[in-house]
Amino acid sequence: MRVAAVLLAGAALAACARPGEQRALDDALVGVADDAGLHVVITDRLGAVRTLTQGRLEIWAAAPAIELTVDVATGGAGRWQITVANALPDAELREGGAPLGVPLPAPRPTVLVRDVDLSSGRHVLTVGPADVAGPLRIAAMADIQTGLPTVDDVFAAIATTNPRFVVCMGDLTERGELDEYALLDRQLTTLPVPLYTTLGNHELWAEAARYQGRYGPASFQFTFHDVAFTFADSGDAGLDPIVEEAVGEMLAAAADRQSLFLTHFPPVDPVGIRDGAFRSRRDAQRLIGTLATSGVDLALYGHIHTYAEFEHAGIPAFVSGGGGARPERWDGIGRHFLVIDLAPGQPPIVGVRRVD
Amino acid sequence: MALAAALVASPAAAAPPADPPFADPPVTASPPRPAEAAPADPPADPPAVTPGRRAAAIALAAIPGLAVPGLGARVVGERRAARRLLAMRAVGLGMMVVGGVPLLVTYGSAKLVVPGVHLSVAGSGLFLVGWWADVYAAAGGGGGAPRRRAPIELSADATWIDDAFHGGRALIGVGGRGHRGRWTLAARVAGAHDGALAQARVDAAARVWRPDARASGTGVDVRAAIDAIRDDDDRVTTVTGELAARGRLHLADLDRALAGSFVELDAGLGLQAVAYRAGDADLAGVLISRFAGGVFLPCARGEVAVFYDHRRDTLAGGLPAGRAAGFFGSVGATAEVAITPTWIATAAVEFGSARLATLGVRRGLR
Repeated sequence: MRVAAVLLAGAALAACARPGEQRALDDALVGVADDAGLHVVITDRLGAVRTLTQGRLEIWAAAPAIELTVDVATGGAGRWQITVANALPDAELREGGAPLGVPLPAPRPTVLVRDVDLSSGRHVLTVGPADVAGPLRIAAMADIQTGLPTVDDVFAAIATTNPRFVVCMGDLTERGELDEYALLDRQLTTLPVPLYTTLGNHELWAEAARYQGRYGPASFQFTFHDVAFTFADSGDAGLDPIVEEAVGEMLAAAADRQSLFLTHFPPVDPVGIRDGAFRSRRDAQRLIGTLATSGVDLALYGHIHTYAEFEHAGIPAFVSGGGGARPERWDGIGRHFLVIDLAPGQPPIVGVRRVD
Repeated sequence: MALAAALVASPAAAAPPADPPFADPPVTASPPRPAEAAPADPPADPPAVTPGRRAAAIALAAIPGLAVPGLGARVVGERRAARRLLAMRAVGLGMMVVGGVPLLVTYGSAKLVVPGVHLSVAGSGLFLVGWWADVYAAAGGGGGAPRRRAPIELSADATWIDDAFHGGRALIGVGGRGHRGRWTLAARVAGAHDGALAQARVDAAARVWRPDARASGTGVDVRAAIDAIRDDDDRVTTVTGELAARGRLHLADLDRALAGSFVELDAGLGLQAVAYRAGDADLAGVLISRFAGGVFLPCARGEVAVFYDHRRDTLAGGLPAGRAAGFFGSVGATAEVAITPTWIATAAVEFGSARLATLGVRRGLR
């Protein structure tokens, strides 16, 4: 009896050894939809298909430039209203390099709406801006959580620094509730540039599919201005082996260009004894070793509701958890975000801006 | 500190050390009788308990006893044990509150981590082991005593490590341990069959406090250790220095009805150096905070314990604990059983991000 209980407990513990496995598998299905005579695939899963009904296709972009492969069946041919949300304000919808469709009024700068006539067959569409090189300024933030109702303050402060876009290291919500996501979408309408993000542990208080269906995959990479941005899902205080392998491949592919790595949990807490970090320091050290061998130039983390500048394996790293969540006391920082200037051949320059 | 707090309720705590050099308890050590430990509190004969009453006591101790300290002991008539368990769990709860609430309020302020986590973990240990000890007392206890260890012991063991990233790996280890007076020195080396994972550890300990000369198993050690791990699969080498205090309280020092059970608390700090295949080496702090509860086996043949270890830098790492992931450490159990007067079988399991199972033998040399 006792042996059975011990074995049962052991099996239960072993069964949850990979809490992020299903989420990693689900990530591979993000950005694909099939309905109303259209089969849509977003290349490299850099976005989510939010709506696909007769005559309407709505995409949430998870990167500054995305590519859509749209297979139109005979029944799907005709006029379509294509909406791309979270797009750069100067993004354009193109096919074969030429602008596509008739622009329709959009509710805000980060939404692109086109009236498009799609014939049957395959269409490869792109959404992105014209600029592909040169210096780049971005903002970085994390840990909004209970600060959702007032995060527009943070967005307004970010807007004053004129970033091309914002990157976020997760914990957009407190509990992953549907009304929180709805509020986040409303708050994002106050941000004049797009926000590209991964998830945090607080998004996992509810089904992760809620996140993935709205904002795209939790682990992905895009390149813009020859800078690689690699986001990794560490929502369970660690990377699933599927994510770790994918991240290793993405980072290796970006080894010859400027490379930023972003995830929610810092692998190792800059205050080591606190351990607000990966649940296994050995797994964390293996990841840091991968970051070092891949030549990552800058690592950005959240989770700890403070600001910290440190290095691991010689890589500059920052914790910036000042998006509005209940702050760590006595650290003298409060709500804040990072402003990062990137230029070819130059190390990233990172500054911190207080909001309050 | 936690142990000392718990000992406030212990009559043995008031007794001055009679014999400075610590000597291990004799093989025939028996639980101290209250008459020896606390003349002012004479023992009563153990109350006769019917099987039905004992079963009810166990059930009450196990379920409502989580919230009502000492319920099981009270039902079987061990009122003094019940009072002592109430005090022990109250101290534990107080430490959890004193340590944990400021951490919650400050959202993990770096300034409060060391006292906050140590108090919280130690308090949890006293609270949970006090709960379990109530079940133990309700069941009639076992009355085991600590086993006397030989001055020199040699050991061999095999550890199976399973984690999501490497699958299964086996480590074969050999070690030795010697003690003289209050001093103990131990060393162990272990390696995987393919050489990809190797570990070496040296431990030194000095017993700095014990309540009296009875060698009941209660005492406090100061421990220092160096632990080095080379993991070629992970392309990482770590060297960790540790300094910690370990206190063990034989609960017989609280009441006869608890004889054979113990609580153990560790608190300390460490510093870890990490070398990667590329990039600069790193230094990181380590918080050592652990509790265990267990029983001595009858006839002083060994002991069995379960533990919680807050560290996440070990081979086990921390549990994937759902919403608490990234905060919890590992849990596990250890056992050592004397098969003959000189041969001891050992076993351990640990569940964290990785799962470890160890089987071994020790040979005592006298």
